[in-house]
Parts: sequence; C-alpha cells; structure tokens
Amino acid sequence: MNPEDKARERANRILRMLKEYDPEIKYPGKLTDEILGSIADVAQLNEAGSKKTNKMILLNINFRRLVAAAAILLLGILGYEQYIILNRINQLEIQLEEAAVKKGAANSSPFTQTWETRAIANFRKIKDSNRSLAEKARDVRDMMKTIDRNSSVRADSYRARALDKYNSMTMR
Amino acid sequence: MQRALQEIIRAVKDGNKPAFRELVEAFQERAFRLAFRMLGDEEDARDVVQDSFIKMWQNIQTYRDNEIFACWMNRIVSNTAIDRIRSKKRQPAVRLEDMHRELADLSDESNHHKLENEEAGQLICALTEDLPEKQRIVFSLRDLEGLSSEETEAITGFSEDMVKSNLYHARKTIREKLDKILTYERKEP
Repeated sequence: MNPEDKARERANRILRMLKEYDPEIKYPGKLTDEILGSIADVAQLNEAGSKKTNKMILLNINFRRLVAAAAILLLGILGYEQYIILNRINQLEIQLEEAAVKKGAANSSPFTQTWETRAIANFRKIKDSNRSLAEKARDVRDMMKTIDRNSSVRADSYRARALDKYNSMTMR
Repeated sequence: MQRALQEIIRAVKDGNKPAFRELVEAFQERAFRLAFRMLGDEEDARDVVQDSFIKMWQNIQTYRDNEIFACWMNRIVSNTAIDRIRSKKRQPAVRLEDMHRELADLSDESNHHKLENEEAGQLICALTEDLPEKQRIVFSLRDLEGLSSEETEAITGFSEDMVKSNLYHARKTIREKLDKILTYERKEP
C-alpha cells in the first residue's frame, strides 16, 4: 500500500470515528432544570411584556384621540380667525373708500382704493404698455421696410451702371 | 412509546410543565448530539439545546400529531444552531495542521484512543472551519448526524441538488485536507 492510500485509509478511520462518536451531556439534570427555569422566566417576561404592551396600546389610542381633537380645534380656531380678519379688512376698505369719495379723491392715493379699483388700474397699465409695445413693433417693421426698399434701389442702380459699362466696352 | 409520547405532547399543549420536563428528559440528549455535531462546542451546544426547548414550549401548538416529534425537534434545533453559526463571529479555532499528533493517534488502528467531547469538538471545528456556511451545515447534518437527504432538505430549505453538491464539495475539501496532513505526517521522521 502506497503512502497516499494509507493516508486515505487513515482519513476514513478518523471520519468514521467522528461519525460514530456520541457526545455526552455533562450534568443532564442541570440542563433540564435550566430549561425549565428559562421557561418560567420567559413566561413571566411575556406576561409583563403583554401587560406593558396593553398599557402602551391604550396610551397610544388615547394619545391619537387627543391629537385628532387638538387638530380639529386648531382648524376651527384658524378658520374663525380668518373670517374675523377678512371681515374687518373688508369693512375698513369700505370705510376708507367712503371717506375718499366724500373728500373727492377716490383715485389720488393707493391707500384709498379698493382692490377692484387697484385691479382696474393695473389692467389699464398693462393695456397701455401693450399698446406702446405694439407701436414700437410697428416702427421697427417700417424701418425694416425702408431699409429693404433703399437696398433694392441701390442694387438696381449698381446693376444699371455695370450694364452700361459692359455695353460701352463691347461697342468699342 | 409513540402513543405515550403523544399523550405527553398533548399534556404539554395544555401547558403541563411536569409533562414538558418528561419531554426534555427524553429528548435533550438527542438534541445535544445534533447541536454539538453542528457547532463543535459543548457550551454553545448546551445554549442551543436550551433555546430550542424554549422555542418548542412556545410553539408546541404548531406541532401536528401526524408528524414525527424527533423530526420536528431536529428542525428546531438545527435552525437554532444555524442561527448561532451565522451570528457567532468565527473564533480562531485549533487548526487541523496543529492537531497531527491527535490525528495520528486516532488513525492508528493499534491505538484504541477514545474520543472526548473536547477533542471531538476541536476536530469538528478544525475540519469544518474553512468550509463555506452551506457546506458546513450540510456536512454536519448528513455526515456527522446521519440525517437523511429529505430531512436535511426540510431543515435547511435547500433543494436536493443543492444538498448533493454542497455535500460533495464539503467531503472533497475535508478529505483533501486530511490526506494532505496525514501524508505529510507520515513522511516526517
């Protein structure tokens, strides 16, 4: 038997021994007691955990309700506040307009104008600027036309002069 | 025995602790052997057995009466051991190359050397240390524990081909490792 075969044989023996080896528990009674003890501990922990969880769930539900009520209350307050403020602003604007009309200076100051008046004024401004823009565009167009016309006139005269020159050269 | 076992399990399902003690006493040795063969460490194996029996107590309602209890238990113990293998940072175990004296004693037919837990554990660790996790698990279950291919598939969730190929590669690596050391050891003066 060559050394490799012998080594294989010995390796097989080692693996067989390992396979057949039955590990033994040292102090099996102690392990049993430990397992049973752990079960009691786990049961206690679970009980405490479930009590705690129930408490947390209840707290969570109450907290959610509280937050929902607070959110609704906050929305109500904000809505009421908006209503009050807008109403007061409207009243003030009306009062200011009336005061301005009485003084005969409705359009003299932006503070005495209502939002409708301001909107109309802005609209007019936009209209005026549009009109001036259109006028400027028309000017540019006229200018372009003039340039075009001048250049064609010049081209014609240049062409006529060149033709004359050519004719005089050929006649000679 | 199976009938008596079913009665014990029924009692355990009802929360009977003395019945559970009986169950632990009957099966802890078997569970320990499986865990030890997978982990190669006595303390780890004890912990795995303890954790596994706690899991069994908690999940006993999922055990079906038509199932073989040992298979159900093997599944729990193996999965707990696999979790431990995965979570445990690999300790620098005794290298196989450093064990050539023990290997020589073991492989010598004339020498009636008897293995002890510690030595067997060291040998398991040294042999499986360099194996990838899947190969290590399959080798421990199939070759060391002697479980069937079907049981190994059920425990690991691997396919039949996967079990076969992992086992083939694990055996090849271990044999090559042993051959190399034993050949080298023989050539030494």
